[in-house]
Amino acid sequence: MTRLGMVMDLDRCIGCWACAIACAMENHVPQGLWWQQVLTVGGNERDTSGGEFPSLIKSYQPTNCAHCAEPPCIPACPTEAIYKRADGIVLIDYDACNGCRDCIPACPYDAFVFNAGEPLAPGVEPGDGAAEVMPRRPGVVEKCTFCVHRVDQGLAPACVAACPTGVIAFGDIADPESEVARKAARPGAVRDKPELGADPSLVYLPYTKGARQRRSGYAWS
Amino acid sequence: MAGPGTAVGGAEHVAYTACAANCGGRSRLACTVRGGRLVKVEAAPFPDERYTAACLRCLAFPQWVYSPERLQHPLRRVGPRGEDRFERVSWDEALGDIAAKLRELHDRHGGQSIAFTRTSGASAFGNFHRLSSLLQATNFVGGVDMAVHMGLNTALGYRGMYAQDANEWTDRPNAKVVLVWGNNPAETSMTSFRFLLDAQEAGTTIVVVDPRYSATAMHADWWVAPRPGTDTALTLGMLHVIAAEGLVDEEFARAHSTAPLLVRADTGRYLRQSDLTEGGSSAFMEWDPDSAAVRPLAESPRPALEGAFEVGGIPVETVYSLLRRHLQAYDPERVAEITGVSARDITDLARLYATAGPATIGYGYGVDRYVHAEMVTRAGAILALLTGNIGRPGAGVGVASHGGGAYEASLADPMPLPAWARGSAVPNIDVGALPLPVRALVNQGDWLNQRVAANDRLRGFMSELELVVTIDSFWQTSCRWSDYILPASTFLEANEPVRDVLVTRNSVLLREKVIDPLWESRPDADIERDLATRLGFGEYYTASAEEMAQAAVEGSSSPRMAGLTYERLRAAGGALRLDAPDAPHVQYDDLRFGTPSGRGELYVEDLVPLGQHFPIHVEEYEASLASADVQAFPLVFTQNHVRQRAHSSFFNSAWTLGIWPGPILELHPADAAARGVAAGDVVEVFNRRGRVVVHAVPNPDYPPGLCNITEGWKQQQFIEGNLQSLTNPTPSPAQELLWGQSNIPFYDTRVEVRKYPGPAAAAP
Repeated sequence: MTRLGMVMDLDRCIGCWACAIACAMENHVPQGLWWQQVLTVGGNERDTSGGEFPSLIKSYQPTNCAHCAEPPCIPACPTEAIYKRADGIVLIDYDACNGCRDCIPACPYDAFVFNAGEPLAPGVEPGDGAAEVMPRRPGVVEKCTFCVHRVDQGLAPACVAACPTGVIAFGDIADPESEVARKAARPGAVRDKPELGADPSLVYLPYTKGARQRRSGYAWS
Repeated sequence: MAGPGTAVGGAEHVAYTACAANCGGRSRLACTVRGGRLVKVEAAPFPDERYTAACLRCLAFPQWVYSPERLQHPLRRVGPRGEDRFERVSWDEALGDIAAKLRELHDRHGGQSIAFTRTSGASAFGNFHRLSSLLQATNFVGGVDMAVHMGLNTALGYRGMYAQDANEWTDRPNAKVVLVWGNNPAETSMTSFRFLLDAQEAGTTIVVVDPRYSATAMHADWWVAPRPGTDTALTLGMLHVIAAEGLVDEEFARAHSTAPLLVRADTGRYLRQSDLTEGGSSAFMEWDPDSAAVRPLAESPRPALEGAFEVGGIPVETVYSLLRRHLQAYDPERVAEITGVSARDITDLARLYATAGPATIGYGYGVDRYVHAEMVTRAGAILALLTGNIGRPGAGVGVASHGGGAYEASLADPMPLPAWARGSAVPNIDVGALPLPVRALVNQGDWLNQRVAANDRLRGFMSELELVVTIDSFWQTSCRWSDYILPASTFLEANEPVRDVLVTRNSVLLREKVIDPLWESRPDADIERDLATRLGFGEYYTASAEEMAQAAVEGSSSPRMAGLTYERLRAAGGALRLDAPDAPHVQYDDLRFGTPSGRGELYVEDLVPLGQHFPIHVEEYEASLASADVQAFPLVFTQNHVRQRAHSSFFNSAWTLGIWPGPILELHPADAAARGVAAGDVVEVFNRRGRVVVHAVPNPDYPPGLCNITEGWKQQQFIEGNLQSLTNPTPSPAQELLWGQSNIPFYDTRVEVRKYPGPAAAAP
């Protein structure tokens, strides 16, 4: 059975947010909300490292709905607005959503955002982006759809197409012949918070370069 | 069911163009237009599919184009200059007034009384170069990011100020070692960075030289962090090791560099045949060991690489002997003290570069913005010439500019001007420092924010001008000093089906119209044409943009464009590959250099009076530890380029502002703590030249003693002050001597930082 998923190779991620901006444009996500974000793993502020110069450690981690095999959001929704397609994509029926937001804490991956009627970004109007993407009414939750409207046309999600360094592989991770499944099977591939049992379809190849890197410079030689 | 896949419909079309910003990336873009609105931007297929990519800057174009900062109507100043009070006027009134004033100044004081500045991002056919030439006006030229090119041009031969690129980006996997030097493509050239990642995955060793732990440095196999501005010393240390350990490719140096050329001990000039023979030629001379005599360049089968000789009573020595002696002062121990990079690391880096190649050096503008920066790349060229790391796949030295290094072809000048139509040039670094005959200034873009250092010193100059006009798409720093503000369309807007045409990355691309000009804005080319016509130059502006594009393509004399017609370009959707080989372009693959000797120049005789005939480490410059300002202004202040802007272009895209909300001062946590500064505090950054007030973020990616505000924020995005009021306007004597103008050393700047006692603005 098909199980669409993503493998993100963090050794290729440069933290540029092209994925997230392509997502926001494609899906006309309201300003200030993100269906996809690029987390800085390191320091407390965006783009800063942890540790002390020069023993720094920093990596970037794109994150979005993991379209889990066992999505904890589905049983958490009192109006049964969240459902999973046969290909594994987890979607929200916006008409059925009552805005209670019980899904937000139920999700281990911070995938859901609540649209309280946030304006779109300056320069973006309802209906911009992909024509197939439905504008959401205020008062519902929303999240990454794996760009289901593109998937149904045989296209990769907008973030995958936009990434300039080829971080994200997308496809059927249940098909052992697929590129995405081969990457997911690489040594070191991890899923976030596996102990929670959601079985996410978002797999990371962790950032490894920092630990292997030689460093030479004036503050420590 | 109202599911996420429900279509809302609507007629739409896709228009194709290419980015025009000065990152140089020139991504080819597919722009979705629905109901006349730009609603989506994506990468469009490039003829070479490896270049099909767009970065976040392009993706956010809808917000940039429709931004609230767009200038919508012509404006005229009311009240004193600098008070930001303007009234709306018609195009006819604005251009009529401007033309009348320009005509009056031209008649009374000559064309040189009118100065033009221009900017990237405008149409190639609307950059006001034609009008400034027809007026015989002054052009304010240059700025930053020239010194690295000057150094390479000096060493390897002039091929245009901005054409000294390393090999094409796609060549990186052919290298075994790549030195990414003062270059941060992961944050500036995102669509090119993948070629470094691909090379690394294929086994290439990536060395990143940068004082800061950049997003590029975090991907390096080896991160080398010298003190800011000590890159020439680091290079000379590597050269010392290479020469001392016998790692020089002597056959290559003998055949392709000036290493065996003889230099007169008495004058420091190259020995020429005319020095020895009455009526002799200007040929450079070498020592032929077999005949124990001098011979003109390239006539000896195996000229001496080393040695001192006496020829006709003149003591001479080979360049290579002089260089070896020069390098003795740059032993790794001394260079370690200058750079902070250990002697062992300098030695290892030299060995890696010289023996593990082919090796490529790709410079960025991080090394460019110090007063003696041209010597960095002169020294880098010597590295390449002494080790044979130039002119073959995987081996090259140059600037790793975003779109550069590919096969090039020139477009024709679609409407050549008469010979008398020629303006004059004044380097930007001299404006405000030298008396100028200028009485009117026509700014295209944000000159005050981007092209001048210590800009407070221009207040007098700006105040005394009789006319200041700014042409731009957005409200910005230069607008505030203007008498008239003219709203230009962005490069996505046009009145005609075509805007212009360009050659980039082995291809010819057409910029189609994407949307109509917004509000009352007009394309630059329309503004120039209208103003020129009012000034009586209408006969030089008769062709449409499409006719210009056709003439530019079909009039090209480049063999790589042979047979390429405009019709074919249109039929192909506006993108065609040049007639160029599939293999990545290799710079200098013929090993011919455009220098006086035709060789790669190790030694520059014109710089003997400055003591810089070989690159040297200059002890004292503002950012150095030897600076007299170290106590008063302990922090070196840089302004690196960032992901979300190309210089100041796209400063206002709402999505990127949602991620990076405004300017911040980043500094080492210990430097912040010593000043009582915590994350989010408002600080004043100041020196003798100026000040700016921003929020601070302690960031351990910066070494102690270095702080930074990223380049390209507009004055209105700061709490107070102006970023460019701080920067160093000191020209380089060597650059002025060799090139007639100097780069602006923006990074060669010291500041102090204190918590700002004044009223704190809202948090970012």
